Amino acid sequence: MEHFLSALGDILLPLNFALLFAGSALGLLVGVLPGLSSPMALALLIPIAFGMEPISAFMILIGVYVGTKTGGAFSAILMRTPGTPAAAATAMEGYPMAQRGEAGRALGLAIGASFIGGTLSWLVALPLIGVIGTFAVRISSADLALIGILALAAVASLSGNDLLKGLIAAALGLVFSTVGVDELSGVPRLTLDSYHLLGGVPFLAAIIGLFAVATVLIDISEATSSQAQPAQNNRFSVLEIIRDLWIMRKVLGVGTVIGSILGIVPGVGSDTAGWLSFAYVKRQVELGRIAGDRKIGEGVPQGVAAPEAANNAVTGGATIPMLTLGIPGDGSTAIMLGALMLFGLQPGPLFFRESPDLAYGILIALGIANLTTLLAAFMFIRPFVAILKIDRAMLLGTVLVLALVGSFASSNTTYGITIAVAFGILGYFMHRFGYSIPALALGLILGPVIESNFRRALLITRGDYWVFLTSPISLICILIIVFIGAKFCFDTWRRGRNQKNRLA
Amino acid sequence: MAYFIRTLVTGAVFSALAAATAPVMAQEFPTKSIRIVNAFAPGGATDTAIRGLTQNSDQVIDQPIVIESVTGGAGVTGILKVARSDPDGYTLLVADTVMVTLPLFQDSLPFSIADFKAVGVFNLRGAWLLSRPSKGWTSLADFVEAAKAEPGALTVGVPSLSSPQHLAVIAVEDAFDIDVNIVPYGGGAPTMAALLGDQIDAAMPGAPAGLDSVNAGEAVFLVASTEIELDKYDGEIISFMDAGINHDLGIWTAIWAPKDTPDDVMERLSDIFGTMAQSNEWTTFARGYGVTPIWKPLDEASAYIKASSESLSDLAKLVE
Amino acid sequence: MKAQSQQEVVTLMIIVAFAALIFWETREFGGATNGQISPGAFPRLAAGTMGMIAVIRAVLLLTRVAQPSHSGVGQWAWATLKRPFGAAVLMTIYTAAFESVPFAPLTVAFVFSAFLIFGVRPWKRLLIGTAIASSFLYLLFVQLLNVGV
Repeated sequence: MEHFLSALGDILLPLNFALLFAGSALGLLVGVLPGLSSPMALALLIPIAFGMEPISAFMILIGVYVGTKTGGAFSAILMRTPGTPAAAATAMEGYPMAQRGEAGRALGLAIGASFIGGTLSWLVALPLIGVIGTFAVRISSADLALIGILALAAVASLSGNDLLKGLIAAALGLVFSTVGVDELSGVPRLTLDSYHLLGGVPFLAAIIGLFAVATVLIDISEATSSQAQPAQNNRFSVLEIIRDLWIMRKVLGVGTVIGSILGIVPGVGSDTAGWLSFAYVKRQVELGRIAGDRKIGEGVPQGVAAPEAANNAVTGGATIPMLTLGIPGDGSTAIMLGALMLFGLQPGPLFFRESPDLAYGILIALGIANLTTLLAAFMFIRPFVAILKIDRAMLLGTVLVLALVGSFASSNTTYGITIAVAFGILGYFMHRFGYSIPALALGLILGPVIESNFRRALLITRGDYWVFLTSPISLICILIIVFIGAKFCFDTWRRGRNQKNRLA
Repeated sequence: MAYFIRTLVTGAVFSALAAATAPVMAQEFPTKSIRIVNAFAPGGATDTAIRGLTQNSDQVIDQPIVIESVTGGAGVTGILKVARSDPDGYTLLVADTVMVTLPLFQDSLPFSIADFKAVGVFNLRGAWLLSRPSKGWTSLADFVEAAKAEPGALTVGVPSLSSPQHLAVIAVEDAFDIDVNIVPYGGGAPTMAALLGDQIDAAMPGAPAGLDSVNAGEAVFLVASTEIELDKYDGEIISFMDAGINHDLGIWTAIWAPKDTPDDVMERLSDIFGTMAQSNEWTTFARGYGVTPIWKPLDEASAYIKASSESLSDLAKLVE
Repeated sequence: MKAQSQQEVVTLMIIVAFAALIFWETREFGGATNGQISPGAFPRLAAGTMGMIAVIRAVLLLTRVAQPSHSGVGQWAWATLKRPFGAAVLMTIYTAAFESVPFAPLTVAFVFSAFLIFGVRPWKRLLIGTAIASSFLYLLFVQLLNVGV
């Protein structure tokens, strides 16, 4: 306990706190720019971090990590092009809000929700540190496969009226996810005899293509000429935002829970958390359980708050197993693990015992980074909203270049740009023909989770399918899937019957 | 006459100068920053190794050494990039044994090891077999006994299928004529996670992954694929050779240059990296996180890599 | 309505063809071996589902049970396709030239052309905008991130 307090004291020292703040600001900027991502930024910072004391280095790294989660919302709301994959869901309602002149409010909600999601999940995780890691590793391959399938069910909600088309899009995403060397058998699949695809479809480049490039293509086809943006109601008050967030507390809670749980699940992470939370909000609006007269797509504030809370809530679940067991939860924490090794440290079960100051320092920084991000972000709102005054065509053009060069930087290969362009064009046509891009993205993300784990589960039991019914998590997932399926059938039947009654 | 003498003297002076600067010019390499391409995941073992090696490069040369991460194509993209770059010694590749095992499992790769010349091999680690205390195995013999009792039932996790770690498991199977269920995961971390979560009976990650868990008593060491030196491990290291397995399987990390790089540049590179590889900073750092610092330059490196490649190739043939 | 319906059926047929392509591309994978699922199984499952659903929807459309539901490319109106098409061509050229042409001039040319296609006028704004955007990109990617093949 005294280590915890002493580390807390260290963090609040001016130097460390300033570094954390600087990291958060940097993370925000990285998050804003489509094409730059958290793992990329962290990898670039390692040489710099190397020259510092470990604790100071990690102030910056953790600050950047948490900052990017919020930064993505800025470009999602202002330009409908999410700066990070995790913020893609925020754009769905955030951008319409900006179009109604509520950009400042949307940003404030996003920032506030991010803070709440991140801090709450951190506070809840703190007393459970010892247990979280142990729990995380007990999730078996069978469990993971079922969790993935369950997450895929969110596609149904995201497709709206066009369930069939949504399923097609998700299936296409699943097909794309199988490209590359098959993890379970070592043979290359669907690689078109090109070595470029041996590692699979470059994920970040594909997301940049689907959400940034496609959005630009769609937007320029609709504008008739270079035009100014809608006037912004720049007067938003912090008190109003706090009040709004309080009104949305249930939705925020759900988002935080979704994010916290998904943070522990390897391979799923913040991208999925955002979409699942959004799917939840969408369903709530359709069921009329959310006050207000706006429909989905018209700027429902909850649609901004929930995904943002969720994608920040992921950070705890991804970082804590790294600290307690040496098992990273996502790409960014994997790089932080590498950084720890560069400092000559051994992350693992003894980390807290052997390097308590650093271990507790990182843990506390994770929580306080939410605060520093909040502060830094609020400073950025005015200048960023001012960006909206720039000629729309120029904004779109700049975003397009950013996206393309960013997709190069994501892997340092020209192939990254090719993928971004290809998926951008695909996304354009999908939008034109009414196929859900988020559904494709979910398929792309969840495909490996579902397939690898399903096959691995069967490999371990040598073909015994009972494994899917023997673990509590698996059983719960199956029950939920069955329940959702039954409810869906029931709803459809009842809707059909109502229609018939009305026609009769 | 004066003009003639002046020309003669000028010519002589210039020739002398040229002669004097020629060796200096060769000595001046590098004149710009050297780029080392890492074709594999940032933050991984190769990344840590090369960053650790080059962290004090300013003590050896004036120009900076930049580590460039070029991912994609399961590593092929980065490897090809170096293979196709100018052979002037400014673009190098760092890679570990995967350079050799990848072609064993994938046909028609657009590169081969013949496209490169080794500058030097600078560290060595091994694969090590770990299990859980709850299994009650304290040595490889216990493991083998359990495997014989239930053929095909014991699950052993490996980081990936075309890796030296996978081949290490094959070596164990071959030596004792046992059959285990090899389960691939997507990397060392998920493999350790699966072991710690008791989802598999044993795991063969690349040392020192899992070292902390072993020291904490969460994992038990059974055997290592080569003579590794782990300062931070309290127990005794038993290698394949000690345990009666006739395969010495080391996971080495090396630096390569494109094959047409001139010999004098290769010599110079070998000097530069040799100095770093034998420096106190690197050796202390390497031992600190659990790898064995070694240095085998140029021809010695090529021979070493070739021997390793042949031994791994023999094992690869045993994979169905 | 009918034209939209036809357009959608066409895209659905393309989807079915793509699914068939996937089946073709995964033909050489064997069946299941000792409890393991073949590498071809999952891609085929996904592609097969995709194709089947496409067929179902096409049938629903053709029998007028379902309504077409997309903004479509409205009789393939050139006006709305013009800019995206131009942008797509521009991006393709940029990607193709990325390894041969130096980064800075290529990107400036791209920015200028993009602004031009997107309709940034008058000319003064176009030029100034290009300059500012290019400087920003240069500072960010070349100086800070060391990009530049």
